[in-house]
Amino acid sequence: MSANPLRSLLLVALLAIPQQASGKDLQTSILQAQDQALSALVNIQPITESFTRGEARKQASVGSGFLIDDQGHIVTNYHVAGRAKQLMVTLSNKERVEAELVGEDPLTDLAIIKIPTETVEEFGLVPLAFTTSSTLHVGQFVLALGSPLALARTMTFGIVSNTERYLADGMSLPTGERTGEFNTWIQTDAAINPGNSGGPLINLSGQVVGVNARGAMFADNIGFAIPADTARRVAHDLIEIGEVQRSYVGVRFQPLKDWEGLFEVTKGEGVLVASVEEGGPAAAAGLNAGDILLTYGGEEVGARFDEELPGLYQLLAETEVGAEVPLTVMRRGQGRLDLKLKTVNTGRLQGDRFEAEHWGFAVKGITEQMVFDLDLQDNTGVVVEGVRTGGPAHRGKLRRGTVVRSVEGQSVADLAGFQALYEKLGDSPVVLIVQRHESQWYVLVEKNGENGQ
Amino acid sequence: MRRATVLILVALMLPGAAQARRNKAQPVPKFYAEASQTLATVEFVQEFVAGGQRQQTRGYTDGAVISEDGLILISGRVRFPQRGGSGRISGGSLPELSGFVLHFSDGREHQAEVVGFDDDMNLGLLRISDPPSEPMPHLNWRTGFEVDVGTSLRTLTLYTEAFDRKPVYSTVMVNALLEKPQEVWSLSGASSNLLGAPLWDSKGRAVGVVAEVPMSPWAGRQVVPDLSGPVGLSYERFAVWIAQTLEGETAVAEEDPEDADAAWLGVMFQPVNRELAEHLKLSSGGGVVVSRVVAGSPAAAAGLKSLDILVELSGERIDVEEEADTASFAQAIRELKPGTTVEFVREAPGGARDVVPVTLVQAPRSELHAQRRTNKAFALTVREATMDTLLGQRLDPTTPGVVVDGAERAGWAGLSGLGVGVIIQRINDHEVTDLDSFEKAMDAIEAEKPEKVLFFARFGRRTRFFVAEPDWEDESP
Repeated sequence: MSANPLRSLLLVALLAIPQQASGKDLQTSILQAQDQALSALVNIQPITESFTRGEARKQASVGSGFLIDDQGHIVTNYHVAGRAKQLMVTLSNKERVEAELVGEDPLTDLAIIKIPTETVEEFGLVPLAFTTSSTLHVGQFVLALGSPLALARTMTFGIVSNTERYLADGMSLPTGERTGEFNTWIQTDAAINPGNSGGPLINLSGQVVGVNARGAMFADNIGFAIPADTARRVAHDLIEIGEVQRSYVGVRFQPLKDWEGLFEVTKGEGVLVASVEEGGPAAAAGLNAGDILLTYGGEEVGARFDEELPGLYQLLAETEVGAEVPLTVMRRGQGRLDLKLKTVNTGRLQGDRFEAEHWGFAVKGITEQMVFDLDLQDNTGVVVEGVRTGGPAHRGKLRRGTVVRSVEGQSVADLAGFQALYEKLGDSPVVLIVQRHESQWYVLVEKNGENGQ
Repeated sequence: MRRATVLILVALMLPGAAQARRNKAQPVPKFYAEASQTLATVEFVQEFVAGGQRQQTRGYTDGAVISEDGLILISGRVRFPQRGGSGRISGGSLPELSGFVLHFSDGREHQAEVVGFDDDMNLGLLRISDPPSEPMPHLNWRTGFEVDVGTSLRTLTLYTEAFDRKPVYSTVMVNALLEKPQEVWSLSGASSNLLGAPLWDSKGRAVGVVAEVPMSPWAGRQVVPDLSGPVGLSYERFAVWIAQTLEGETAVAEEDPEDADAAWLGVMFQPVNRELAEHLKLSSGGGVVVSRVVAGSPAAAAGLKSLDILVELSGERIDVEEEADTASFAQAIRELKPGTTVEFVREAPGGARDVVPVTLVQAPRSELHAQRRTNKAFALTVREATMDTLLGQRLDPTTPGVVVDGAERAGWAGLSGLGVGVIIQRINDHEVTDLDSFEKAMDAIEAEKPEKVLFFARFGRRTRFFVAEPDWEDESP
């Protein structure tokens, strides 16, 4: 074993850890950190709307957040404040103010909300500053602030248990969006419970190192925070341009582990293309499952371990939308091949929702991502988001997840088209042509007074 | 696609919301974490007439996922809304059940539909409405489980929403064997709260379910005379019923035959009832609408298309009002002789008619009757990729490959992460198109004894690689 990398690692660790604790005892450090941080902490009570039962239903929950500038911008999770109809915020001084939603990013599960600038001034609230999460160390002391089980202004204490925890892909939010593919996670044993979501994880200097978002179920003290480096980048985009723009490529990778011999590459070179989305940019570029991607945009890329995948997906997402990117792949039996890939804009994961009240169901518009995520034929029509039990559509056996293609013989192009037809025909019985994957059939939506409600 | 190595359940730190992964083990905490994922609170609406009044109530029961594509086993109790502890029903008709929603403890929610009920065993089957994008964590049944008086069994139920639907672990003890061959167990410690809850052995394998001895006037033969209250039903007791119910279901969808002589048309139907027929201005008063035509089927060759409305079959009116009737219609077609030419009358909205002759062929084999092969060294069982499996994964019916039917967890294939339901298409450089090429590939690999074996597999549109690392020195894999 070479001693050098190990020694340099130790050196960094020795420099970094005592820096915080030396000079003052732990108790003093914690008190100073909380002194700095508590003022920025907020308890968020969002009212969100769900359409999955076929009608707009209000839902209340509790989460956490923290002030990041003197304008009143607050960082929280998308699963706390995303799609909120109304946001009440309880400040650290127990005052309640209303907040507005500024921007949301389900792909990283982050959202920005805002309280009035005057409120920040009036109460002398001190925003929290991000520090980089890239120099965190396992064992470093951290504090988690938030509202576990709605218990506002709770602080818990622990250490960083792991700095690059990989949580397998395929995670999704309760609202259905996929998430978590662009970052590894900071694992901590500082107690994190339901209600902590959106609260800050801070170091003993009172700087934000992560945004608490998840915890392991049926376990003690295994919590996960979104790293500050991801949160800061997303917060910046949401505040400055209101959204996070990402390129979509349509490819899934697997790390190469020690499989290089199976794919004719040398150890540490490239990443395995596991799956290529049919109809996506990667497929159009001629990328195949089983290819080893060696370079992307002239830059060497690779992943031997799962932990390296989120960074790779982030690199692809950062490509300028629509740019033509040169790739090199190694294809078994054919050697190195040069390909050209043109990315598309990821856009919104889900469309707007609309309740066709008289018909007893709710729909949502179809975005490009939904075509991939739900495996739809194309983006025409609207997707049934929910069917009201006992309502007219329910009687006609309309089901959630089917695509409405036409109403009374008139094609539905998109959500606006559906709304227009509802305005015209909402009071009459109608026949829908609906589709689920390759199947299409008719659904009669009758006006039905007795069971209309 | 399933990953074998992910053991943690990661939940969103918002009250009531969570995200889960799969795990399996014997110690109670591990069992609890894994088994919890297969359990859901089933919420539904019962509508019934009582005292001349139409009433709607919301009901709840436990349900367990029993297949990767979202089949749910529940207690039949849901059909008897007013049933008190005495087992009496205060009168009225069986309720109409609808609006099934499954709530998992990790926050997942699915709508579901009824597949069927059995009055003898008082069990029901649901299927989730949206096909899952990856295999769902489900119960793994163990057959041949020997139970005796004193055997301790594990069970789980879920707390209410107010307590975040936290799973509740408990054990029950078999205190009497009620029926031979040991398929019905009297349980101590099982309250009616546990109806529909699975029973697991100490190794965390599902062996049965908590059911209720039916005492209702609708139940035919009683499981055990003169006994009410929860009992344990062994998996063997209801396995056949599940298989038959599923076969009925596939029959609707794919006209799956039981015997080799069944005829096949290759379409899926939905009913066109009187109201819909009226609205579409059909003169015939109803029939079936072709919802899907399977590529390469006789129906496709005859030019039938989605949304075609069929109103007559060989001179007889097609009378299909309810979804259940489409099953008997599909059955009627299945009972014809392969090679027969039948004539459908097709009616367009508005009333224009034409005649479509279709020559039926022999039905393709279904998953239930699929041939299977086991490779002992890799502890891997595969089955042929039958049309119902492929259509279920939204794949072309001609997609090559073999379907993983079982992989021992600690076997060479199981350790690579290969899980039930995925379709193996290549092993190292050997293309796998069917059982024979699978066998040939495995023979070649066993002769070569490579250090690593690369499986290329798909589940639906997603593909993935799995690498097995066989220990060829080990004589007893």
